[in-house]
Amino acid sequence: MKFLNKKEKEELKAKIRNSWNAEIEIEEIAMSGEKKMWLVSRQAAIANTQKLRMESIGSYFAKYDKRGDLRLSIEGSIIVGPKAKKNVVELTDKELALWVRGINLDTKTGIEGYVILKKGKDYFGCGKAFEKGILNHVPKERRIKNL
Amino acid sequence: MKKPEFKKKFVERYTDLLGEEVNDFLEKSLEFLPRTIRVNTNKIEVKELRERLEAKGWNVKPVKFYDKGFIIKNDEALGNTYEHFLGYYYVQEAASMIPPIILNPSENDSVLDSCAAPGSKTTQLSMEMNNSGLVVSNEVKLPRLAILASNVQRMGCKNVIITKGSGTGMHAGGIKYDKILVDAPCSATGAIRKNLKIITQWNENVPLRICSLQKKILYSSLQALKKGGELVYSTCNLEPEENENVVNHAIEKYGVKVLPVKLKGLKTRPGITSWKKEDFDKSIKNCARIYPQDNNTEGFFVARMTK
Repeated sequence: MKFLNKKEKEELKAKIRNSWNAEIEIEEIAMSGEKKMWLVSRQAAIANTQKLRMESIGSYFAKYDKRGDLRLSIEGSIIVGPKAKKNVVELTDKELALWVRGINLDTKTGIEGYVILKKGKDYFGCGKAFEKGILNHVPKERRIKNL
Repeated sequence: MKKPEFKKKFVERYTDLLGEEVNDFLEKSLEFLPRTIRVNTNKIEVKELRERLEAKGWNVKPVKFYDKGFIIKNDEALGNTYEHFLGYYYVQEAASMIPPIILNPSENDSVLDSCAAPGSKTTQLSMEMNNSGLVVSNEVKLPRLAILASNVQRMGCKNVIITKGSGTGMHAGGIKYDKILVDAPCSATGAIRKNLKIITQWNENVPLRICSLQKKILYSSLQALKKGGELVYSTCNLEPEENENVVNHAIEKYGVKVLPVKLKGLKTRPGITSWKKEDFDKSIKNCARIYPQDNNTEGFFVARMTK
């Protein structure tokens, strides 16, 4: 696990700007070897963790996929979504009910790449939009089984 | 469904504790708990969530002693809503909201939650600190760690570090904390209203067996506490062996000072100063016994101390 330096943070912000046309401020952000990133409070970032058997730190924000594209977590979409000016998809009631159960959507967006899913003022994560629909990345433990 | 019967020795024990009031305690212990949630102010304001839930037709009333807690009357399963999915609230029993309130951490504090899973108190501490400072959230069991991590994520806690380890090893972590919460593993007899099986599983020898572990966890956490720092020790039961006895041990062995526990809107009873021919330090009276019949909650014990 390492913390992003100033240059890496700027690259991340540029990626967010490119993908969703959103400007956000990032304080401390940690990255794992799998290119996953966590938002961390300042004090947690400087804590002396050498003797701690650390399992995780902070709030999972986003991940660079194999192509270098950025996929936001649900919490990441809640931060970026309100500021995003493109690649945001408004879901219908029916689509949202499927989405939170972890089901891929047939929604044709005309977009290729990651989109933020929203309904009204709420942001429900990020899916990969392609020709036939939107791939779902809602983690298993987060899914609503019985709506 | 026929409700289980309390064991004779259980009734005798609680008669010793409560006298004539024991029937109030036993009857209340068989009632369903009110359904309560805690607003997650890391993500949404209290007013906004309340308005949103009321717009859905929910009956929402504030918990008397905590403005971020709500009592809910509705037919929906609380864990199956969009608001729960988004992390706008945590389904949490009202009495379990008390220890973090009493600990009262500040934004820049470093805080330890030494027995943290599934994470209701860790995430409450996180939000009371406005998602800043540091909360080290420790759990020993692997399956429970996964649940803890999931809840910390859902609540959007960026100030939490999750660690895996025994609560008896906190002093070896290399950090000294401003505040520590020890919500100790216990016999859970205060949680009968959530799980009636506890009645049939109760065994009078369990409190004596488990208090040895509780003392070790408390000792380790006290070593990790800064001088002048505060520690809250809590359990979800009212067994003197697991509560007053453990706190008394800390007073005698480590010289801690027990501070009063007061919370507006919460009825508490003082810690008892003797049990089964053993006398405890007089300052044990500063501890709080929270009986189910007093606030319509689970049974809980809370002690606040400093060194």
